[in-house]
Amino acid sequence: MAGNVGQSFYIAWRYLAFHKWRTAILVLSLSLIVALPLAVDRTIDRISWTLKSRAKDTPLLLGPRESSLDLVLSALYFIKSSPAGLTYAAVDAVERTQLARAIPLRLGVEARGYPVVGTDLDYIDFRQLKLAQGRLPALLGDCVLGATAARQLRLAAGDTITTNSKDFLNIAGAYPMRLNIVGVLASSHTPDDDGIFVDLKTMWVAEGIGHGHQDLTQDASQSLILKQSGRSIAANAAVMEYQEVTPDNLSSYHFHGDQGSYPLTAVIVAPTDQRAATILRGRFMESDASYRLLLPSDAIDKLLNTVFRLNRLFQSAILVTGLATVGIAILVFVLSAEMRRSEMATLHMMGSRRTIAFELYGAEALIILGLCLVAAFTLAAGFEKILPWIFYRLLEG
Amino acid sequence: MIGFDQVVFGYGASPLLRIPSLTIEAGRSMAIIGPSGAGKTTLLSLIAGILTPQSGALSIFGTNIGALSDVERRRFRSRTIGFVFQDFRLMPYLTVFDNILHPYRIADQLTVCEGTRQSAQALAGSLGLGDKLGRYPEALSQGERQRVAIARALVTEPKIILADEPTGNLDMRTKRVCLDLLLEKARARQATFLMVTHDAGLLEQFDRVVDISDYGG
Repeated sequence: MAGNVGQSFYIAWRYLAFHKWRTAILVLSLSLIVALPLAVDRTIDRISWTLKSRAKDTPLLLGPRESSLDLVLSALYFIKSSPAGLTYAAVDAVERTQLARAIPLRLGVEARGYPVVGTDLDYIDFRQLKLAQGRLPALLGDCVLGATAARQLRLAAGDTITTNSKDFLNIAGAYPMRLNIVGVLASSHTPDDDGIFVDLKTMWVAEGIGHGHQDLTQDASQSLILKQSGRSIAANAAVMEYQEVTPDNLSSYHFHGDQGSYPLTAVIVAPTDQRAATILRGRFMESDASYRLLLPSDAIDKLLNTVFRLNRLFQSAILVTGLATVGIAILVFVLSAEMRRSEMATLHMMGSRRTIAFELYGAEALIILGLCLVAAFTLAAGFEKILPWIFYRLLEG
Repeated sequence: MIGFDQVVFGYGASPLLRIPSLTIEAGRSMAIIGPSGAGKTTLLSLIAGILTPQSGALSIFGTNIGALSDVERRRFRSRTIGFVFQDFRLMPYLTVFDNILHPYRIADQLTVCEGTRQSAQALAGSLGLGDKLGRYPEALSQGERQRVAIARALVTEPKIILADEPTGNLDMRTKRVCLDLLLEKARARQATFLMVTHDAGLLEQFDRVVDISDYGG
């Protein structure tokens, strides 16, 4: 009996292999209707877990009054352009309350496709990030790479990385800045793995807010001076701006204006306790300032509710498409059986087993089912690699 | 030996075949002739146990075919009968080698083993198909296809070879080659060989010729 089954599977396999394109199309169509919803479901589960756990680990977030979702996506996941409107004064505002630790964040600059995150060392401590090699940034121009960024870019402590020029056609804009990689963080399986972490001041220099240039008090620079009044010197555009912080030019870096007016993306607010959190939320709710304090998990829950609703719609559409595909597959089998009636008649005349037609069609169906399962799980695994990328690109808008 | 004793077969009330007595000796060859629709293929089907007589007894090597169950007749057919069809009826999705071995794969009590593979290979070689075992039927000439069909009919070493106009689609030269092959192989195996044909030019090669119209209902 087992031998007969083996022979039937052999004949069925030869039949399917001979009609390889028909088989491939059938297998692909059937496996797609299994793979797609499976992959989408699993991806949403994974994204949902990732988003929620990160949001849960961030008690409060201070940012501009505009879209809370944009703020959360930018400050927590580094996947959205920075909302404008927050300044460093917000950090002072939080710290004055003595109810929380304020960790400033500044985003908006990239280096080789990875976000540069301007913050202070409290961030490393707050996120419990560990160094895999090197040290933490200590000087202007230093940076540490997240584990994924370092691996993908094949960079290590001692290398350098240059920020992307946002406005290279603007001669008055910020120039690309070469950062000195002084350390690499251990993998944390969070968005921090994709970050390039610098001190806030380094970030502001990369944005062109602070800068270093040749010494205008030297005799050789007199031809560059347009106007001098006391300590204030106005020079022309020929003044050489430094693009890399070195021990020689470090002292020439400086900032103009009040630090309180320098831009931030968000401030992570870590209250001392639950009571402090409640008080802070009340204070900032009443505040007529242009910024607000929000619970990141609220924004993420809203986003995920929308995602889940869209997924239900998608799953319903796939179910209808799937039923149609299965119907077509059955039709293909029936038509194929119809076309093979003379073949079965020949087998009957040759003294075949009574159940030969059942065995052959059954074996074909089982082989196709098996191939579909293998193809479906392979496709699902592939989709699961692509879908998060698509999801995050969609969030970026 | 194949013996018909008062065998009647037909559809509905009117019999198509009425064979009061006919004996075909083992190891002999017989041509069956007659007009279309006279019952030549029906006669082969009765001998193969595909059809059963309405009345009378048809015994093959001492077994009354009409008394066997469907499963028994299938087993009898797979072990005792080799069929060669006019339109070859090869499986387009199987190679020459797999087509030859096909009877072993579809029958109840036959199995493919190293011995059957070797004998199939030897048989194919003796029919000039040795270098074409991996090809599919679509890549063969008509004559080659018929040789594959002959090899498939002979591979189980049947005691009876039934051929239903196997030369009908072939040119004269190929017809003769094909018939010579069938007769040679049947004689070498001492198998009884029955062939339906319309071709009067081939009849002289048979031990016996039966006109089926003599047995019309």
